[in-house]
Amino acid sequence: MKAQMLKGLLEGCILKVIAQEETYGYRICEDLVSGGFSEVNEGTVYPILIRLEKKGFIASVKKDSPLGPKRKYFHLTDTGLAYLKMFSDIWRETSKTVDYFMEGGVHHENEPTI
Amino acid sequence: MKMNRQSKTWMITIILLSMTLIGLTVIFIIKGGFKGGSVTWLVIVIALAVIAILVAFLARYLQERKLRHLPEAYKIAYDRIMQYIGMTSLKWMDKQEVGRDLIDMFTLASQANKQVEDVIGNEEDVTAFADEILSAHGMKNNFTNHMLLGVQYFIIYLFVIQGYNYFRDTSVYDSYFKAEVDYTTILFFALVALVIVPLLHYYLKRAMIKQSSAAVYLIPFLVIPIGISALFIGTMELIKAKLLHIKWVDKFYSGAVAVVPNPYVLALLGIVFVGIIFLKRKVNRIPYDR
Repeated sequence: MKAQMLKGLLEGCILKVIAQEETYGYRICEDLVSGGFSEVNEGTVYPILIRLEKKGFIASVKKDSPLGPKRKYFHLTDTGLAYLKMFSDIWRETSKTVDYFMEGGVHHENEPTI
Repeated sequence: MKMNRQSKTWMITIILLSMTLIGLTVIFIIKGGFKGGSVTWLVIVIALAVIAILVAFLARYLQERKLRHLPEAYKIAYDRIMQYIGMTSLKWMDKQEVGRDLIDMFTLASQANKQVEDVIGNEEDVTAFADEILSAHGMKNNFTNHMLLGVQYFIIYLFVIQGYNYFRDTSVYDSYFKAEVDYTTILFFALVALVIVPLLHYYLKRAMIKQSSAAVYLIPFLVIPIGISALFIGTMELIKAKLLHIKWVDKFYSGAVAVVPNPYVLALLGIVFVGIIFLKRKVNRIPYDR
């Protein structure tokens, strides 16, 4: 269940990380882990980055790296920025509603509360 | 050049297949008697086999150079994923891009002293990771890909069989386009291309990513072709013994045809071959949702 919930959320969080500065896959993963997504690894992040790039939300440039092939650095596109804003608005609304239910929600008279 | 177990198995398989091809050609030539064209044909086959082995070694050497700074476990993981992805209809450029991204990812992870399991998960997760990469590129992973590959192999076989019949004895046929192929031979190679090749391709793809032992590779390469070939030979013998009194069966059993009768058919086969490359991408594509 957690994996399913994470799938949708990670895209938005990754876009937010990239929005803050041009960065690369490994660094994005480290930021997600230090932010609280302890079960996320590079294998989780990489396919998401491919999807986001294919959808046009991020774009990449290749820069020299000290070891191995050139490294891909990602930055947000205008389409990605618009999607991120939409994601942020939906998250704010949804998290408020979910919190409402998790903290007690609607009560009906004469019915037990959990 | 030091090779991991996966590479050694792959190289041994290529050498064995090349030696089998040369051996079969020698047997056919000895059975048919040495004629002028057969020596040329044998030289062509040996040259192709040697080139195939050299190309395989060179490709392996270049790959080992790219991965020389990675620990062994990462090299094995890279091999498994890239061989799995290599057997799909993902564009060549995208496959190269995935390879470069993986090397960069693995390099950083190994420098941070992470184990490969921490990066892409355990044994079961590797297949899921490779499938996720394909899915992210909009590619489905289904058997249609292997079937279409079989059709491409069939086109190559038709071209090669006719060439073999022509070169075997150039005094019989005026030109390549007049050389004839038995209907039973065409049926046999159709079975190889459309049944054996897709099955082996499908099985090999799954076996490669699961880091199986050499026996797991060799058993399907022996059992599937030998089993199906034995079934075919048995069926032909049964037809010969029981059904030749039926006119069309007799015509099929003893008839022959030039499968490539003119340059236009050759060009058409070439167009179909190339068209299948694009068709494979189309049928395997997953539409993106925004």
